[in-house]
Parts: sequence; C-alpha cells; structure tokens
Amino acid sequence: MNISVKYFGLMAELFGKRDETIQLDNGVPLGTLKSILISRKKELKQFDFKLAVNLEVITDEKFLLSDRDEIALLPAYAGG
Amino acid sequence: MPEGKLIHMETSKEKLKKVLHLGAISAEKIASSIANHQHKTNIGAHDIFLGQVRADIVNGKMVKAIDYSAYEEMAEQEFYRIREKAFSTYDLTCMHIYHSLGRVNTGEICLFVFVSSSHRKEAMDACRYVVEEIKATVPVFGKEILEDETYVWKENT
Repeated sequence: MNISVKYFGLMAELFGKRDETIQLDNGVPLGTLKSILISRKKELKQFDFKLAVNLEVITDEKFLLSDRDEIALLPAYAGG
Repeated sequence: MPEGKLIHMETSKEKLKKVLHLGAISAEKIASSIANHQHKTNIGAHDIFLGQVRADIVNGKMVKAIDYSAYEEMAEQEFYRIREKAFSTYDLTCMHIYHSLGRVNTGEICLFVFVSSSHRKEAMDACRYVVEEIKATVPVFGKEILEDETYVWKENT
C-alpha cells in the first residue's frame, strides 16, 4: 500500500523534505512506520513529536494503516 | 425553536471562515470586530484574548519575530472542533478566532480570540477554555527569529 507522509516544522528540516510517498506492506501498524522513520533519522528519537493519520493524532502504535492514508509527523506545537 | 438555539446555528456557520491568516492581526481588525457586534443587543459581555509575540531571550539573543507555519487542513479542523465544543459547553452568542501565519514581529498580535455571551461568566470561562485548547491541540509551529537572523523552534509550555 502507498501512504503519504507530510513533515512539518523541525521535522521537515530533519528529513530534508516536506512530503513523500512511502510503500508499505498491507495492514502495517503505525508503530512500524514510526520505526522506519527512526531508522532513517536516528535523531528523531531526541524530539517530542506526534503522528497524525488523516488529520487525527493517533497515539496507539497498533493502529493499522490503510492504502492512501495521510500521515503527518508533527513536532511540538507553538500556536497562540 | 427557542431563539438561543437559532443564534447558535447561525454562528456555527462561521466554521466555514478560516482561522489562519497571513501576517499579524492589526489593532484595527480587533476594533472593527468589537464595532461589528454592537447591533447584537442580546450580548452582555465580550471576553477577548490577544496573544502577542514577546521578546524572549533565547541562547542569549533576543527574539525579534516568530514565523508561524501550520498543518493547515488539520489546524482548521481543530479550530472548528474547539469552537463547536465551546458552543456546546457554554451558553454563547458568538465566537471569532484568528491566528497568524508567516512572520509576526515582537509586539504584534498573533492570536485573537473573541467570545461573546449574554453574561460574563460564560464568556470568560469559554475564552479561557478556547485559548488553552488552541495551545494544546492545534498543529501550528513557530520559528523564533533571533536578532542575528538565526532561529530556534518554539515549543508551547
């Protein structure tokens, strides 16, 4: 399945891109994607970040991803 | 249908207005928002919160601006959710929220929350609720631009 990943703020700088498409096996959980991202950039572990799936923050790493999901890697918020 | 309910439904349509706008929020915009409500004579209280960019010292250097960016689609959804939750929790007549995108200099306004109700308690409680929820749940990001044009990413506390 293809999922799109969007990077914001500090995360876009860390990964050197704002978005990309990643191919994953069907039915992969969010935790697996998180591990893939950490394996690509080990420094990610030092930062607070949230993962959103289709505009909703998901904290459960067992959450199963689907084809064409939009994942966002969100660093610490600074609104207001 | 009782009048209070009708007003809620009218103002819920404001969900279609975007919250995020490029640039600082001007004093004129704030003043005209107040003026625009003067005909709504069922209002007894407004509570207004203004977030202003502060000249913090970071790494020994002064902040001279914040450059805001956002996951815009999700941020607008969260702003809408916060607004709807406030309307269902508190008895309000109106609410307007504006948040800046792009560069806002120190001393300029980056967040404007304007809550109106018949009585002051609801306006004050709702305004506080909305501000705290915005800071906690809306994916807006800020680069603190320092006096030498270097920057540091801001984190809400």
